[in-house]
Amino acid sequence: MPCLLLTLAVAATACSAARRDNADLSEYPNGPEAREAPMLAKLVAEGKLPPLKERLPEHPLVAKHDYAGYEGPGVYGGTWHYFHTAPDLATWKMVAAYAPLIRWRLDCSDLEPGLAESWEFNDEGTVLTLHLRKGVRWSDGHPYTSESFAYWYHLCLDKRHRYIPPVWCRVNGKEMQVETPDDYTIVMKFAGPNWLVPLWLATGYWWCDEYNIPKQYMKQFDPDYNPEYKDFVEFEKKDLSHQNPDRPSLWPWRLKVCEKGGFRVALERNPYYYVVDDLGRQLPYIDEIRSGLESDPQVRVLRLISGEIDCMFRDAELRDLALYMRGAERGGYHVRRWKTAYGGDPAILMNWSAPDPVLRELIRDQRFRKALALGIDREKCNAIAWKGLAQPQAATISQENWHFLGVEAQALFEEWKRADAQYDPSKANALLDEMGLTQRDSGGYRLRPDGKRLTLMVDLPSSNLSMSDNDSGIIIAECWRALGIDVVLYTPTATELDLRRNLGEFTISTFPEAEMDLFTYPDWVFPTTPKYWHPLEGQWYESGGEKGEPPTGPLKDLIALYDKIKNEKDLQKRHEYVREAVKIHIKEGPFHLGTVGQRPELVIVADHFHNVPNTGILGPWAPAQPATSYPEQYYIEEIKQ
Amino acid sequence: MTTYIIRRCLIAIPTLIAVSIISFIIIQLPPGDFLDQKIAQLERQYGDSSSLARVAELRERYGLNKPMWERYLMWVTGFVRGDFGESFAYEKEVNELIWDRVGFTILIAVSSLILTYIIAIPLGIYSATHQYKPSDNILTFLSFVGMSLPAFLVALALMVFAFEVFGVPLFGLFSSHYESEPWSLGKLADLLKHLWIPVVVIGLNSTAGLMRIMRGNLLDVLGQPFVQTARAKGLKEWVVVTKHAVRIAINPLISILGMSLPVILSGDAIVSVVLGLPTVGPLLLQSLLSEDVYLAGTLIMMYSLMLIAGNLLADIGLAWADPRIRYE
Repeated sequence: MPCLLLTLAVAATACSAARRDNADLSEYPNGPEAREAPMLAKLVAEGKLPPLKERLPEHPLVAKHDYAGYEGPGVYGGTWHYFHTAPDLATWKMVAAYAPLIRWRLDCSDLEPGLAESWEFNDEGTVLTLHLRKGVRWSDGHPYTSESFAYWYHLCLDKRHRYIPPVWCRVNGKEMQVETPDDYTIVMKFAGPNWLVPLWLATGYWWCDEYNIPKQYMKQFDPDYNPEYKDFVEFEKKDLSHQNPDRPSLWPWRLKVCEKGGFRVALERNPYYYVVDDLGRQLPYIDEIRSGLESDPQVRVLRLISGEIDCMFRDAELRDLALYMRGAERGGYHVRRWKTAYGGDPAILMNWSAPDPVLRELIRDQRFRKALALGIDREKCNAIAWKGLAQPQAATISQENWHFLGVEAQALFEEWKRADAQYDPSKANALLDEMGLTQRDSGGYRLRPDGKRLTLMVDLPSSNLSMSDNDSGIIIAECWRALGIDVVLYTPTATELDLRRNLGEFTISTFPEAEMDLFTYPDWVFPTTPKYWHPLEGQWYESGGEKGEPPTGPLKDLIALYDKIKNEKDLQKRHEYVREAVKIHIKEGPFHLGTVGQRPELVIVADHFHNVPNTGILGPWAPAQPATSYPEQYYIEEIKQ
Repeated sequence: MTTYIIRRCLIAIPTLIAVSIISFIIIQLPPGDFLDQKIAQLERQYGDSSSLARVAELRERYGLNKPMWERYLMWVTGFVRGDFGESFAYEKEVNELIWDRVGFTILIAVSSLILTYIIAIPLGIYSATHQYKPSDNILTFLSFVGMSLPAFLVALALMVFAFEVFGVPLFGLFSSHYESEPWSLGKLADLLKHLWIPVVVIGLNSTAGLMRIMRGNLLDVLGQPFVQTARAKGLKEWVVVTKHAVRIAINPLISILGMSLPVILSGDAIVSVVLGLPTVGPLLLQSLLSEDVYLAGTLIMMYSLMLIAGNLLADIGLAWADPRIRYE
């Protein structure tokens, strides 16, 4: 064993010696003149695969690379070693399962074409027409047409299985109708204006993973097509894109092996992939992906510092930064600091309809919320929970979002970030006194209007669920006790924590806040879903007034603004409404409290691994990063022996 | 003897039923069920769980809305037929997930046991026959260190050491290029190359403990009259020790075999998490955390089966080694 390890170590050193800073592509046999990967060219020569021209669409999508960190067209070949942390491959899907009709741009400033070359609304916003790219093919060579989307939607309307109509297709309680006049046109008809649909189509990997369904393959498991099956149980299993290697795919790398439900996964290049580089060479560059399930955080750290992993997003924790830096040279990798774009890490949620009626009244009093905000020592949270790598601020959405582009809007955002975010215990005490909470008990704690001790229960994740949130919670508890408010910390299991939060059974709770697009995920600012600081008001809105608590005061204005957004055709006006809502948050808020934000998120990139953006945003998942940087154009420099 | 074995097997059945009921209940004691867990996880990741929007239907499909006893009966009747239900987290039949892992667990456990006995018995004998000599003192010191070091700490230390010295981590049971290959001689060799680390780490505590027991037993026996008789007969010292004394002193070690199996299996679970081994332990831990009932329940049953079988084998072994014992 030791001699084997020694051999490996020597080999590793040899490799790093052969590393060079700039790849001279002409030195490689598969340099710029090759239009497709050598492994595919070989199959074409053997007659096992049609020539490249027949595999690419009429107008292939050209990968964009307007980001810092792009080095140039790559070479074909190599294996990207990776690990995943759950059998559903979620973190990998954020890298390379993004095949939407419409894509987010990398900088999240707008949308760009994906499988659809163009799209347009009618004047009322009730009909959306998508024009698909002609000649796109599934990984089995079957043409990708409008039939796929139509089939998916037909499944959604059927009640016999897990597929349901998505939230964004329902307007005024009525579902959309989908028509496909020809193979390359999808027409969606809504019961009213529905301007936000293109954004939904582009969001995350989870929507396109649903609506891109390979009918040519799946129909053999559909009881309507194959009488062998009586129900959809087998169908649902075969449709799992991360488990079934036989299911045709639109990903750059199609699933090749999935062992034992996902302990070990291998993917290989999709020979029909529809994206090319500037030179018209078919992507992806890298031949193969190998990934193992790593459920233990410490093993992940060791895998990363050993240099086994070529490029890793989302699973290198900030608290291990020193370790990663120390191991970088020997492991042959470097550490890039991407952004989490968190505006609350965590945000402190105050339940607008807290279960205790006295506390509910207190929380609905702006002076009380301001006092709690001013009482938090954010510098201390930063120093202890994040080693000073974050910035103290009020709770906001991600600063990089597209609603606040421009100088004026940024100034407003800065104002939001600073609102009641200074540490000022004397002002906080003055506000509490002004409210009449001046009586104290023998322990020095303030008394509530009904004569009981003023006690807040703060729900916290346990330290092994989120060390930093737990640390911050303990600091905040100390700060509030200093104001004469008793704090009880409650750390239930993850599930109970979530149940209490989403059912509105908590008084104070925590959750990390990051959002790039409020049109699709409005709930941090607008009380529209049963979550965050407004579980019961959100329930009321979602159920059309049947359940939950009706919104009061400023919450009514916020909901009115969101309804305006949904019906507004003009994008700039929609952004304007978001900014108006934020003005309400500044003026009438805070509705949830900030601690710190803007901490970096680590990305590990091997030195031989190229074209990875220098920075990006990994906190919110909806803008689908790093997938929007076209990871199919990352490449591995060939190592000369 | 045969009747004894049959009786022991019959007693195993109520034991297993009790284990299955208790574990089934305990797994589901925390509030919420697997789907609540899943929703919590999705919201942490995306701030959205709409992909699980039809939760009520999914609950029905997984049978999570049925009363617990009904689900239990469903699972247990399936268990008898070899159908262990479906793992929610892996979206696969439990059957497809566990057999490799059960195999590796048994492999590691049995290898550690063998290694433990091979090392502990001779060292124990040596220690006893050289009582209070410097070599005995050194061995005694080492065995106390071995007994008191937690296995996971040794595993971590070994890993850090190997990484610092060789620059490669010691994970799993296979090198990465063999991992997805079918079985071959090369893969077997690769497995053996990796196997020694967990086997040594897991066996360490029991080895040290057994050595002490062997030493103590032998010292007891060496003082007995029949040993003096043997010496008086003029037998050579090594014949006296091996043929007469050890023969008697070793019996308790065989009955301890049944007891050291649980120690080794639980040690295996912790060490496997640390070393990233594909055994039952880490899977069980995960399934318990996510309330993946059928998977967790099945794994606990597997553990129980292994323990019961191990105990039975130990008893049979003892009967074979010590002709004075009769099971009636």
